[in-house]
Amino acid sequence: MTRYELTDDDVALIIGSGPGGATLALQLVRQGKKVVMLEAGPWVSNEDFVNDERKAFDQLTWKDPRLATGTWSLASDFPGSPAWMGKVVGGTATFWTGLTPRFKAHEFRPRSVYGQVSDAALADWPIDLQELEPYYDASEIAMGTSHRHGRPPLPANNNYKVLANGAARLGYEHYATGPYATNVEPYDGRPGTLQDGFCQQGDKSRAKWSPLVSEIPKALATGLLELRTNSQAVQITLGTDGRADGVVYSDVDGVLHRQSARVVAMAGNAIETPRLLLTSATNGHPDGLANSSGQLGRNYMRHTTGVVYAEFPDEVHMYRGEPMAGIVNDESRHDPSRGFVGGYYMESIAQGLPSFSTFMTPHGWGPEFTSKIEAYTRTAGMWICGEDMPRETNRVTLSSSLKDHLGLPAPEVHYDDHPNDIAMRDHAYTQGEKLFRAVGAVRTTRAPGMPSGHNLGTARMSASSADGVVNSFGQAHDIPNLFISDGSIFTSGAAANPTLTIMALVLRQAEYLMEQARVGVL
Amino acid sequence: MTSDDRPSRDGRSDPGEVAELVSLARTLYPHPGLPDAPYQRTVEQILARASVEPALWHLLRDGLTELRLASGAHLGEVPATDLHDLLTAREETRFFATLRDLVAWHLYDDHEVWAAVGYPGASFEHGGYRDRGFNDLAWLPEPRIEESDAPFVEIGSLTVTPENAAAQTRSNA
Repeated sequence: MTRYELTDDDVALIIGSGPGGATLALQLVRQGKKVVMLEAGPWVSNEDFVNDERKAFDQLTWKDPRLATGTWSLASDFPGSPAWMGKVVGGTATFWTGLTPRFKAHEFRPRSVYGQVSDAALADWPIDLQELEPYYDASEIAMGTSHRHGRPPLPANNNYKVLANGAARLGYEHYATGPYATNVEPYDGRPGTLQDGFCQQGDKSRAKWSPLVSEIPKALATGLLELRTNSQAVQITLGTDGRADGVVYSDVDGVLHRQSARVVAMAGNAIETPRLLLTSATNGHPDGLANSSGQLGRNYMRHTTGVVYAEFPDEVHMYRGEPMAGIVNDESRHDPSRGFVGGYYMESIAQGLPSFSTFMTPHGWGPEFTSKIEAYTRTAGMWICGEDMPRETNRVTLSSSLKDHLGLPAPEVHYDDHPNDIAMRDHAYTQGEKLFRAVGAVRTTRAPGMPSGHNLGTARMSASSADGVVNSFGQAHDIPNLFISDGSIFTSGAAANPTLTIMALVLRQAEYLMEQARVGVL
Repeated sequence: MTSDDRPSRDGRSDPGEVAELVSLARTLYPHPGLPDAPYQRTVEQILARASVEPALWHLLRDGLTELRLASGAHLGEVPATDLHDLLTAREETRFFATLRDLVAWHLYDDHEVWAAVGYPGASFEHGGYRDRGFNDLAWLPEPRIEESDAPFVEIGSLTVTPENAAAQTRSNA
């Protein structure tokens, strides 16, 4: 692999190897740019993934100390685990499930369309659907998303058969097995799915798209990317001109190094990105880098979620096949007559027995609980994924007491459910139960949200530097050569699973960055 | 010292205590069809952990002692319904919460339990389920897998009207 000198100040330095960071890296190296990528976790190859939920969790997860506070159920159910993120090459997408809906046009204009919602910090995006559409196309092609650009639909697995039939009987119309970023047939040098489940344990077969099997190896093949694994960024440094000029990071032995850089892009997910920017506070940026707006760390969103599990008289075997290959769109519309703004998707979800026992009724016990465990093979699952309200008080801050292995303050994630979130979740639970009852469910269980896989909004995009952290290209308002390339930059959450939109925003960002470099601004 | 009264490998627990914890584990997560073996393995894993975590060891010891005093008997001899009531009365204690979570964590990761419930675990080594029943559910009709071409209402009620009908944008380029 290519090696760059620590003093080479011509490199673009990208922090994080998930969908945002890896997409940016590939675009830059394809344009001949030198890129150093820091990944806090190790490289784990597909063949080393493990079809075992507990072992895979240990292998792939960011397990550094964190704290969840607030009224959300995670603060009491799993206070040490506000989120489930990857610490591995490929980031959280290493164990993502793969649904790729686009935002709807109005979801870029929630303040205008939903109106004033009290105790919510709704704002319109400085970008619209039309501007993003070409990048959505490119992202779907990069991922090989099913149902799009000539890619075939996934076949129906058992869990989908239950969801889709229930949806049809409830009068819903817009259900399908995708769009879903897993190959049905061979594509882009990767095989079609074996329907082997264990998506969230890394996917041994490489059928599922992730940066590990696509952007990262492609970028490495150009000879212009140096990927430094087990390298955790601890500070972004600024030069006397106020621009970012490098990053201090800790290597696998805990030894600190400083890499110089022409451009720094932060793609550490919506908890670690604001954490690093807050940790990097310095003269001129006493409240954290790029935080003149005071919005850094605020407006943390994680989707309104929950699961409905339904028990049937007959076998389902939800664990077989792609775990999230089913989506019902009908409730994703904005329809205030339901008692809330925004919408939600109903998505297939399957879990193995260990995860099912942990999340079906957190901390449940006794005969009713065990009777649900015994019904595992006759159980179908549906995940709720809905738009939650951004709130200034829902935020990532640095803990005053909890520290990580490097002695740096751990992130605290505070989240209070908004009344709109609660109304939406109640509606979704009720509709989910009706859906499953319509096809013969004999018992249903409402499971609360799990540690968040969708983490958004903590460095929000805004037209004015007074209202947010970055502009529509993810460029920090305060520091022109500092970019944010992950879900932190979402102005609002929309209902859609976010990975496709993260990739689309970063493809647009990469074009802008190259143009800025061409005209000599960067 | 005979083998029967020799302390177990962690040097702190004894067979009687293991039996008590097995009774508690079964009361917490009763599966009538399961033999004692998975519960036994679960308790052994908890005790192994307690042997290197003094705080956990103290917590379990104190909790067991308190339960014995309350029941007036060796917990292995207390009827299951009484044990259930004893545990319910202690649901808010740290002892209960800790024991409950540890039992669930280990019990549902035990492959004998998986087999009893019908969860087969790893599938990749067996070629996944592509040819092994990922779609074998036959008690419902085969549903459509493609997206619907019907208009999608993005704003407004489910009823499609000319005002709220916005065809779902879909690129098939």
